[in-house]
Amino acid sequence: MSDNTVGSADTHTDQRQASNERTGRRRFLQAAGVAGAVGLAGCSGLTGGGGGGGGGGGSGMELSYWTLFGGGDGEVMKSIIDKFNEERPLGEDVTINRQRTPWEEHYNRLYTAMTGGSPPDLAISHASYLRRFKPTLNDISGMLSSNDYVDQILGACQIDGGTYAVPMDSHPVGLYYNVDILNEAGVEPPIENFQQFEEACNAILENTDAKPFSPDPYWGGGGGFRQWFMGLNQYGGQMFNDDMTEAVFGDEAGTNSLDFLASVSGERNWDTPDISADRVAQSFRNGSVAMTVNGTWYVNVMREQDFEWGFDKPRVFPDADQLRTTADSHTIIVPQKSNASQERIETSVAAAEWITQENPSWGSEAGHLPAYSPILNGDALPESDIWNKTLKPFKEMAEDGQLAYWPQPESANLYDTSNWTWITDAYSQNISVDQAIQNGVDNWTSTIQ
Amino acid sequence: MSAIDRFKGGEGVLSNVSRSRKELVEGILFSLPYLVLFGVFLLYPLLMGGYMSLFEWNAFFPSRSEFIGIGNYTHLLGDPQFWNALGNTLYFSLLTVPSIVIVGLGLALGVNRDIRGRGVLRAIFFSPYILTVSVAAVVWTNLYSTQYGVINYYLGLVMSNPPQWLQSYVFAMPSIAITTVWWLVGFSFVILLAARQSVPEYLYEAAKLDGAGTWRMFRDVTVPQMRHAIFFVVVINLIWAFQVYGQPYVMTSGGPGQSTTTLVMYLYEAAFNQQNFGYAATIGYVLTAILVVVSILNYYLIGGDNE
Repeated sequence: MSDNTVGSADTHTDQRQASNERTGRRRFLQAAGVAGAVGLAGCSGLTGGGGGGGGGGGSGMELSYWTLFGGGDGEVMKSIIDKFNEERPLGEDVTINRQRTPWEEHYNRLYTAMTGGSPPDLAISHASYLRRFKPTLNDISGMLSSNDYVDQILGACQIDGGTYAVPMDSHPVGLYYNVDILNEAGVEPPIENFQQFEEACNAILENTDAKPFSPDPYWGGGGGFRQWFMGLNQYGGQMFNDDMTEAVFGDEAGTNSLDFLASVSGERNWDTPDISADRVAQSFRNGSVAMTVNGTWYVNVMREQDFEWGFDKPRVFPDADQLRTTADSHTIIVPQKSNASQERIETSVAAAEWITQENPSWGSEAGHLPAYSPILNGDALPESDIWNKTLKPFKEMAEDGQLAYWPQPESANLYDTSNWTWITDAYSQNISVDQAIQNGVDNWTSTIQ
Repeated sequence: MSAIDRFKGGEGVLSNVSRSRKELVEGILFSLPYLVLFGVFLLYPLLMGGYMSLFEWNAFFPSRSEFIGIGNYTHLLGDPQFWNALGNTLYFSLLTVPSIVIVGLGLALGVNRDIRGRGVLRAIFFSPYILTVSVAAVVWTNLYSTQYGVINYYLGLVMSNPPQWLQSYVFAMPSIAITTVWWLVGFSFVILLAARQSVPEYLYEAAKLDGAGTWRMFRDVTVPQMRHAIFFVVVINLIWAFQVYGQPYVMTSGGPGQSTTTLVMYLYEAAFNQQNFGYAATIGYVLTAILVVVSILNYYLIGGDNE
């Protein structure tokens, strides 16, 4: 995997250099400016030492960079940072020290480091955390060399007029299916509306041994919130009121969304009411669940499957008003550090821009939808083996404004499982949908107030 | 010359004073490293926690924290999530502490007998205790799994719908409790075994001569003689039970619903999920107060030399 990744990244690098010549010049000028500033700092003897590259003034600026990517994502990010350290696009002295922490520990470590005043220079943060972290982030509005990002994705990084992160991607969710099982059931993809989806599920139920559909592969760690939120938006609802003081999803939209999810393991009998961790992830991979909803990142798993798989936009909610899909973004933040010079901050921003603007492999290999428009519209992505399967439909959804972004609560961790147990309660048929929704509203209102 | 003689002699008094000063200095020097560590890592956080509990604490900028007096404490009294977490913690304690003490005592008395392979049995009983909480919890999560767990595999042979152990409101907490008993009983077992072995055999011989049966000897000799060890085991397990976090975190994430969310999980959630460090410190202080009260009660009920 890593060999392919690196090789592919090199190929795409060449293509990117040809297609983004103008961007490259601008980046070079900007990088040269930063490198000059860094060089001056080095000449002044601010840091001393060898600098790891053997060049220039002999001082080094090693930027610490905390990421949360594992598996295929992690391999691609590693290759990007390796490339940075080989090419030294911001000058011989500037390197990046990447440190990877597991997803579930990343934010607690980051949060602790930020409150303790010793954060890294750069860190990955989901867009949904930005308002929460805003007090300790640098407003980098004036330091960006380009705002040529997808509007909706860049918008998720902007709070109260400031820009608090460089957007890297969007990672929406969609419908993955096992083509072999669909064919066994007599179903011919694509699945382009709910009626087709419903007919497919019933045919699978009738003609195969597989369970037709389970909405969330991560019941143990996720709780189905992405899927419920997708339904909420397809029915035109919202989670919170505009000033984020109250949960308002106890209305028809929120109830309809949960009602459908509960019906999957209830009266529709498309799945079992079992929300144990990894059940669906394993079942989908071993062919005992035919369809599931998962994110862009899932292509790294699917590439290794021995069955034929397909993908469609997630039209899985009955009588939905509109097509929407849950989305969040990986962004790169530059936390405030008490001892960081302005040069260091600007270099950090330039490095974040390089990572997000110069690496189409993040889309073509890791499967995420790049946020930087020249990459998103460049030549590299359409040549990717997953372009037609996942990236193109996701790109269309992004361009059509169909990404439903997570809200950004100031005092809550959206990804904390305890905030979503009311969904798993309904899915496991432990309590009624109405009771679950009420529990969810009460829990969230008390959390955000 | 005894100490009294030296005191009477006068000379010994001065000698004693000088020695006690020296001993005092030596004692202080000897204790100093511990006292420093105690102050930095225990006393200071303890006092700081009490201070924070009086504020709406701003973790990013502590100087901007807002003093609210006992506001966090009054809020806690009306917070249903706190009471739910407290109830869950009490339930967990009720399930685990007596079980650990009874099972530990049973195992200790069992392997204290002259049976074949008792050395191996001792090692087996103690061995789960050396695991970390995450390993113990993951092992049992796999055993309970509805997908590939061995428990439901065998139950599935005799019943059509085996329980979803960790997803059920009824079974989730008992499932965690069983894991905990299996994991922690080894420690209590070792303590109780040592205590049992220190009971003088002549007491049993005397009891036998008086015609006491096995139960009578257990009730009137074993238990009273082991009372201090039992008290220690009860208190230490109660403290652990009230501080339970890892098992429910790994096995159920506090669910289903909030049915396995414990006090420390709620404390953690208040601090790191809701960023409300002042309230989290308040929960911590209340938890400490509960533990002190429970320990004192235990002391008077079973442990103290108060007869």
